[in-house]
Amino acid sequence: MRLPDLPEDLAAVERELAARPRPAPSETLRQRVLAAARRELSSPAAPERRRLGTWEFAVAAAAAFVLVLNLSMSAANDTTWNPPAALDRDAVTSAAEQIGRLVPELAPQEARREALILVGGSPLPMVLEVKVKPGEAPWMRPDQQKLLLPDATDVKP
Amino acid sequence: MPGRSDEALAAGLAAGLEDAFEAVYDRFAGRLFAAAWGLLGSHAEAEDAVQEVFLNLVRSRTAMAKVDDLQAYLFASLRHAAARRWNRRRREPASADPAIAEASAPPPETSDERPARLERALRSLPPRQREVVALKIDGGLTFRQIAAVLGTSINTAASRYRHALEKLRQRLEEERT
Repeated sequence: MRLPDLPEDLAAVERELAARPRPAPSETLRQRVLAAARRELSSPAAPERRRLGTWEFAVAAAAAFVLVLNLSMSAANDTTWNPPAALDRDAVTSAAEQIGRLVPELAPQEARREALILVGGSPLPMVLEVKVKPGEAPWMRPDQQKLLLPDATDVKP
Repeated sequence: MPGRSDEALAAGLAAGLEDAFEAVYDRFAGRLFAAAWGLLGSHAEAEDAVQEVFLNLVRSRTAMAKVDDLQAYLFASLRHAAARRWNRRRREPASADPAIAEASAPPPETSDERPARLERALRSLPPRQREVVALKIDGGLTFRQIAAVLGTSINTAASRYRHALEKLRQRLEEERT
């Protein structure tokens, strides 16, 4: 590539810069640098850094994401959520008991977390809106029907 | 090994040959020091930066076999070493370090001699323009090599250099009037 020549006034500045007095390195610098280099040469060289390829990077990022997800879920599961003072503790306990009765396979801790959300006035809508009448829900146990279906006071087992 | 090409020297470096390091030092240290001085304006800091370049060269010698342009590699390493010192200066403006104090001291304002005025004008340039002047004039690099060192295009390097010269010319004229 041929670059355009400098105009005369700028070429003069360039010449002046090149001719300006500049200090030289001290006599001892060569000795100092080469002695340090010799010391370094006697120790093993640092291994060459290898750059990750696109796929390797994607796999590493996915693995890191899964690890963080697992850790955050473990942390959430192992955290004991205490109700704040403003919440009715009895209501939380009773809601947790009700949830535990409804979904017996749920761990007590999980039932308590659900109860906290429920009593805490979570703005989330109810996930399940039961519109069946008593006797039309054979998949529910009688005690569940009694709890969930308003008219299910006389459900026979 | 004064007659060996840069490629042969790079291969010698990769093999960890002591005489290759000596040859590289003898071939490039003077220009590296001049460019470091142009960038940093301090004798002590320029020497430290040159020493750092050579130590990094020894430490990463195994990668030298893959280096296309040894000169550009050395000057890029020098640029990083100088940048680290610039950052240190910014963090410690009123440093007790004599090297920093030397670099921070402006050239004598009273001197009307042309070299002193030129040095003052040079130090007043923005860092990007100053480094391109240091690499071209003091380091003796081509625009292709400067572009490789700065990570820009050849045209950008050349136009930055031209702007630097224009600014220097203006400053020198302003000082004269």
